[in-house]
Amino acid sequence: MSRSKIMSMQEAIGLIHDGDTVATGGTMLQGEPVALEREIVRQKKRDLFYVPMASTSMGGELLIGAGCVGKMALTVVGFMRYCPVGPRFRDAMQAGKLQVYETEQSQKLSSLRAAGRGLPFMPNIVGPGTDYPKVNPFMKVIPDPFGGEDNVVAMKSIEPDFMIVATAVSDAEGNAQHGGIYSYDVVGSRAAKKVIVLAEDIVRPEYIKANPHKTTILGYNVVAVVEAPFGAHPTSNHGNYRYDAEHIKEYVRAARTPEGFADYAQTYVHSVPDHVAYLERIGLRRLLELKTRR
Amino acid sequence: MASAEQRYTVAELMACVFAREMRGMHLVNIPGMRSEVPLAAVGLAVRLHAPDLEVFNVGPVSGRQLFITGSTMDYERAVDAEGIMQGERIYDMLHKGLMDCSFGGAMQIDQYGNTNLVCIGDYGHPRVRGPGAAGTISTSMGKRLFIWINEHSPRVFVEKVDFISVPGPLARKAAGARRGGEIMVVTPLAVLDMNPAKQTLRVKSIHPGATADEVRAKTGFAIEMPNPVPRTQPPSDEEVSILRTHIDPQGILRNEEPNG
Repeated sequence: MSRSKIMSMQEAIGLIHDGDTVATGGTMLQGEPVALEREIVRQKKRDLFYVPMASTSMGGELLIGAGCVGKMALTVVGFMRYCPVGPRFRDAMQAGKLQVYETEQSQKLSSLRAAGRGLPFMPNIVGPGTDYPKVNPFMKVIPDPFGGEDNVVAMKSIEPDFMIVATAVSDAEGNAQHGGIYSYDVVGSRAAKKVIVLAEDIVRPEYIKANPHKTTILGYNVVAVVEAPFGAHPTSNHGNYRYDAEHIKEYVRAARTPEGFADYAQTYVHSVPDHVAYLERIGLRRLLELKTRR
Repeated sequence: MASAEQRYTVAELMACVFAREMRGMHLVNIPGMRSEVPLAAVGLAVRLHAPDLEVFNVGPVSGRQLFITGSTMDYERAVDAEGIMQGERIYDMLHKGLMDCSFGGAMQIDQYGNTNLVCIGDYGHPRVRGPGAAGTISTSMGKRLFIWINEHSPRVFVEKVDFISVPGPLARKAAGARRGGEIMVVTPLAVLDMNPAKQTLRVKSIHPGATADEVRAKTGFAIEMPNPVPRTQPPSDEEVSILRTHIDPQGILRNEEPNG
């Protein structure tokens, strides 16, 4: 029995309620589901517990800058060498306005791995001796219960209501495949109650079945499949296009001030009613220049 | 920037200092936030004295790629990589202590080798918000931790860091965390390492052009200084030639201001 879960972007993001725990995939300018994050901004979701699986760039900046985030599981919000600390994130932190659970990357993975295995917490070797346990209530230093000499930190489970993941291809049921650094997406999908899949292309089931070993996301807990070419723009989609350094520089320049951010959001989010309009605004020439060899 | 009398830049000197420490090493971790200097060090070490070096990082991995990119995660490295290292897997390798060395940076570092990438000032209301630790506690779990800092000043070298994101040996020991790499720090002025008896930072050597007084004045705590103080060996003609001909022909280490 197959059931099509194909939806519009508006319908898929409409499933999310204010206050939900929302995890997103990708890392460091790669594979962030930015098209769906723009739609979250358009729909004015509020008070989300935002859990980017790894470092986030554009997605985190948009959600924080637009006021969608109530609290956040944090490692990094930034654009690597283009701007290591995202400007909207930086201002929110320096103003004391953003509640975060500060973690190191592997610690956050432990929280999500715990949820994926039905555990209340998961131990992690890194953390004792740092100031993280002092500021993060999801982290406690505990001794080795077997009497060994190494203390560890217990990372409290985080079970997202939704995991949003940017893939390359998906069938209508949400069996999806993608390359690059996909393991954060896989961990988040196993942890979450429901998964929303963003796909560059929706493909026939036969396409997935031809290479089942390449399947990264299984459809059992996928509730929506959204097709959006260049859906990760301005971040990259491995095997399809690289990140858009020029657009990232444009954003970083604009978002230095709240007014500049508002202008950016107006231009690239609010005044473009849907994803196609967004791509038109970026322009065909730029998009084609980003395409990479398969 | 290369001054008129110098044949090399600070970034090139740093790459040479790290490369010399990699003799006989096998597994190296390079973080993706900022990778030029470590990638240059690896390229140099492989050509000179560490043919078995393999670089591991999140993203594309290939032992053959002896060229520099801004990040180890950049697309250019995926074109002929042998694999794509997944996040879960690299953290498992790091936590298992497999790396011979890893690289890290700091907004602040104190006399105990604690480093801070999180905030300057009070955590809840910071004067300056930093990028956060990313994966750097994990990368500190190898045998050695190479820290490179592009500003040697009292605001970076402080009495006590405002937030410990990666603990030095004393903080680790006090918290029952035994494992962590032996720290070496390279700045534009000097090479520092830990005094093993006191577990505090000391000067190991001072770069050509810098003086002991300058290092003391620009370090925000009383730094242990050997007398006489050794001079950092400058890059040899061979090292500079290899860097510029084979590893960094595009001149990233010569043109770009290194990032702190």
